[in-house]
Amino acid sequence: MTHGVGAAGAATLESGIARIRERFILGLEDREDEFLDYLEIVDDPAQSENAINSIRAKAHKLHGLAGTVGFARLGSLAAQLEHHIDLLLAGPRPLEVGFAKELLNALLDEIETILNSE
Amino acid sequence: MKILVVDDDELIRELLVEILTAHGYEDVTQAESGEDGLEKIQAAAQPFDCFMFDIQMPGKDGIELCGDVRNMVQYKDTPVVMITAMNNQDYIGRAFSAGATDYVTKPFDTTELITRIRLADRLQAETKRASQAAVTAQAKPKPPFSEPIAITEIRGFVNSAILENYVLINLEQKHFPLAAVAINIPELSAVHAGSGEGEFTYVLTDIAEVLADLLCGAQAFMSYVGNGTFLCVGNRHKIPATSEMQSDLIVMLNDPDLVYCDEVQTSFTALVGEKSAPKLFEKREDLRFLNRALESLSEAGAANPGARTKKLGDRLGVPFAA
Repeated sequence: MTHGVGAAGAATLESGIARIRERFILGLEDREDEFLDYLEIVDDPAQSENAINSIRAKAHKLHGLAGTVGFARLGSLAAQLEHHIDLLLAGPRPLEVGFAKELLNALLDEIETILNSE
Repeated sequence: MKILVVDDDELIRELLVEILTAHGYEDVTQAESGEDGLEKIQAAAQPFDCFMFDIQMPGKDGIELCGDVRNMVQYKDTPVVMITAMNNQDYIGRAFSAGATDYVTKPFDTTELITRIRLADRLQAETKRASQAAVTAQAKPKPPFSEPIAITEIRGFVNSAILENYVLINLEQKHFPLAAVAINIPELSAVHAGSGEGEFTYVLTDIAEVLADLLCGAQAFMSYVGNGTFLCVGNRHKIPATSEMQSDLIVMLNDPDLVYCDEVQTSFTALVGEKSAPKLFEKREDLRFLNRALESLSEAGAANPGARTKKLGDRLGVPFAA
């Protein structure tokens, strides 16, 4: 993780990442709430497309960050959701969002697990 | 190295700053969107040396921003490292098409990230060095055909001043009997006229290598003295006969594996003067035998070795041969 830096640099980097990790955890509840908001409307044909795009954008961000700050499983679940939505959006309409919801629920479960353990 | 990081996720930006700073890259500017990044690029008093753009951002994405940067003359070669999620291989292809030089994947592996940045750092340094060299080369006009050119890295080739020293030391210490022979390649005039300085020097170097091979074993030192003429000084008894050298040279000079000229299509001939040795009555510091070697090229048919002879005599500080 800290390859190529001296002891002082490694310590600074570790503490920097720890700070970011802490802020990431603090923001997880907000992320969870946003996902839940979209989950409520994703079945509505009038809002489904927008909701699924928003879920994808949120999952994309989570995918990028979670693994780096030590939450590999959360990052992986976010990546699966993002990838599935990409396939979904490239397919026919109306969107069949059933499996996307299952993946999102698994993601939300993982967020809950993290929030309960931290 | 001055780096601009553009990512719409604040935590990702901060994470990158932490990683870069810990590895010695402390001059890092952050931008929260493609539009913000473009503004910061345009407003920068000191240009950036490296860019890191997230590919997927709302509004102007990293690929579009990369295209904008590549349209700016000062950033046409600046490293652009794209930031992407692992499953976005299609985006990566588009990013390279837009001019990206590399990419890193999220989640970040610190070692991989720093390897990419160090590569970008080296790339930037090399680009600066090459650009500076190009500017210097353009500022310097191509030397005239009559000027000597120092050929380096070929066995036995030295500049004219060192050749003079070599001759004087040998005359003084009498290591072996000296002789000089001048060789003119008439087609070099057309090569000089039709090519850049770099190409002309490459061709000269190829020919120098041929001469070094031809005179291998003759204890020869050689110099390119301008006007398409090479002056060679070596052991009188080991320098091959003029006719033998001439026929061998023509074969070797026209072997494209030995002499390659990209910019001017030509076949080469060679004029080899007679061997010239110091005369008994000449003093040790008398270098007129070098002039005689060059003058004998006229008899062999060279168009303009006389002018070179005069210049060489001037530089060597010896009286011209009568």
